[in-house]
Amino acid sequence: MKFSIDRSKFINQTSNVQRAISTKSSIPILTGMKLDLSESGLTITGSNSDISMTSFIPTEDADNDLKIESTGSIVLPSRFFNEIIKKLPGDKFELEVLNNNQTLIKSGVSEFTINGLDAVNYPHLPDVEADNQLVFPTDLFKEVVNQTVVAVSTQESRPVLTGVNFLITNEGLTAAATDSHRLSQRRINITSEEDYNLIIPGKSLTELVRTIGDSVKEISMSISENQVLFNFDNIMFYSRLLDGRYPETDRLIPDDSNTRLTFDSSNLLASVERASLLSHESRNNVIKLEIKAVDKKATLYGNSPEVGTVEEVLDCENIEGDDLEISFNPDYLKDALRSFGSNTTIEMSFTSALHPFTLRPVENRDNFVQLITPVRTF
Amino acid sequence: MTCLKIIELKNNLKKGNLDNVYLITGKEQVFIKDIQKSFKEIMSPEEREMNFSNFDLEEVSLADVINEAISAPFFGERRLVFAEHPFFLTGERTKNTVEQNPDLLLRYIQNPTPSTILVIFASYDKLDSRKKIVKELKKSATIVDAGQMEGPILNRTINSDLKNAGYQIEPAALELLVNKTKGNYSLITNQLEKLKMYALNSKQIDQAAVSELVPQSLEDNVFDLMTEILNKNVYKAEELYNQFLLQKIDPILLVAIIISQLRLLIQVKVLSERGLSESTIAKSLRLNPYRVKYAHRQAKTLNRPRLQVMYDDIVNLDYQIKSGQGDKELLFDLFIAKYA
Repeated sequence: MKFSIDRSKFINQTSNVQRAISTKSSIPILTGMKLDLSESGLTITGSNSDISMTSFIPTEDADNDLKIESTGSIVLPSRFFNEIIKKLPGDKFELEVLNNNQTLIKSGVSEFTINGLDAVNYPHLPDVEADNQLVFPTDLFKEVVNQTVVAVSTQESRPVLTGVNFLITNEGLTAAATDSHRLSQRRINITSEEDYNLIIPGKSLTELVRTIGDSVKEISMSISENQVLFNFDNIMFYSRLLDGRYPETDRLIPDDSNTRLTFDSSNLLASVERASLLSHESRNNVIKLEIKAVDKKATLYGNSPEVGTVEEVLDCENIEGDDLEISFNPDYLKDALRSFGSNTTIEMSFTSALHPFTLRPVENRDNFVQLITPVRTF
Repeated sequence: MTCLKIIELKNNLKKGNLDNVYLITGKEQVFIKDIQKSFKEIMSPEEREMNFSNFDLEEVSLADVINEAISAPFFGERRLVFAEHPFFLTGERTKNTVEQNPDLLLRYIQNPTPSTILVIFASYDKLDSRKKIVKELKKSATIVDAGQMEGPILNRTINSDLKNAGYQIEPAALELLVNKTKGNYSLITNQLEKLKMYALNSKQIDQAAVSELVPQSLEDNVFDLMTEILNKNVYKAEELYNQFLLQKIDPILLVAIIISQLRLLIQVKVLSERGLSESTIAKSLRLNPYRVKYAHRQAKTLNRPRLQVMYDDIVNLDYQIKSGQGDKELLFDLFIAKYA
């Protein structure tokens, strides 16, 4: 195997694939990056137990300056290989596999020989048929992920809750996540002939969103029994699916409420950030919201016995319903507010001091909801 | 302070008589698993999915546990929170554990969340009663003992378990089984599975089966070595010692175990000469009753001055080995030769 290629174009592709490679793995070959050279181009692959990624550099794209002398494949230790390529002096480099998987890398006056591994031993990527493809506009897909992934659980003791549930029917797609303290649910009008109910690990989705470049217009999703494949540009991103039955989130979202507030998301976020400056110093990270509906007044309180207290009257557009005192973790509210984007008008609905409350955008209230569980007010 | 037996706890849970904070003491895994199962059954599977969490306090901060406990239930009646390995309740030094602030728990148990059931599993030999948090738990929590069963109760339980399964065990076999497992019911239930398979046709478990199938602990094997030395069986003692060497067991470890066993024999001998019963000795030495019973039987046949001289010699041997005054294997061999 021997080829030469534009160094910066190559680095662009490997930096994506690198996300799928872990430095420690129970399968040593997975700490490596697989290069597979065919007449049509170079495929770079990285994988760990959760995600796999391939990036294809086609020969036909002249920008890549990919020149092939002989085809073949090799697995190279990704950490060293990436660092070497980044530090090479020339704009191009040449790579050649010698005897016993030794690999020669040349650029300008620099020459490296590193020990590779036989690509035959690299695990096969899962087969995901591309028959049932769903196509998303990239911006919409990123928005759905960013709005839901905030609520996934980090506790491995409840594996299904560490993922985002994608429920796809002929009525649309519902993405939901919960860690049993908060819940986020987003609906979009993307339909499918077949019904799907899958749980994609939150970590996989976070990595996927980081990988999708700004120039990508759309992303396709193909589903198999225990894998999902996302396709965009020349990148294929595989993720395992989580086993288990996801709780029915629809039944968890209350329809009625006794107290409602309307406000601008950016204003409230700024207020909560100020209140949580002190609550983070406290033993329990809790802030209290006091609503006096008659006076049309809502006040946020934070305190830390060691530092002091904070009190702020909120700038609400509307207050209606019953008076209420409710406490909650400010971090959950901040995450929820950020997911709405800036300057969105939000309605916050409360049932009681010990029941979860909801946040919805006024303009798109049926398609997006964030729900937060309160804590006991001391 | 409310103390409950496991059966009382299970009845209370079934009836819905729930407290907010429970402290489960003792190390008997069979009982602990049974208690955990009983607590989980107070919730439906759907409710459990959202409102049950289990924390290991050697790895997770107490603040996380308290934050979970003060949270309202997530579309259910209550939250159930298990907290395991609360090492800060003991006097033990622990390595590589999260530094905890027990005051967080102290403040919580003084004012627990009505909709949360917090269950603390303290699977330790003893808690440090001088600590403020332990005092508060003993005052405010409902305490359930999941510790070892006492002799007659344990024997009755084993016989009953076997009878229900259609088996019988000889009294001598039962005594040997209890001795070999140090009365650990979890270990006994594991070993009984094997013994039942062995006696599948006869449905009768005899002493030979227990002797052949139930492994001895290292301490028991060293006890056998010490017995042979005390009984002056030099060949048997040498044979056992060589087996230890083949198993790559360091003579330093053998010396340490013999020191503790000789100390126990002397203590038991002194206390029994003062007229104390086995159970009183076990309580005052804070030891497993089976160890005391076994040591008492052994001590009866030995004279105290000889035990004390031997104890001094083995402590001296320990010093010689650790200060490099000779080859440790040879020094231990000479010790056997001197006494056997």
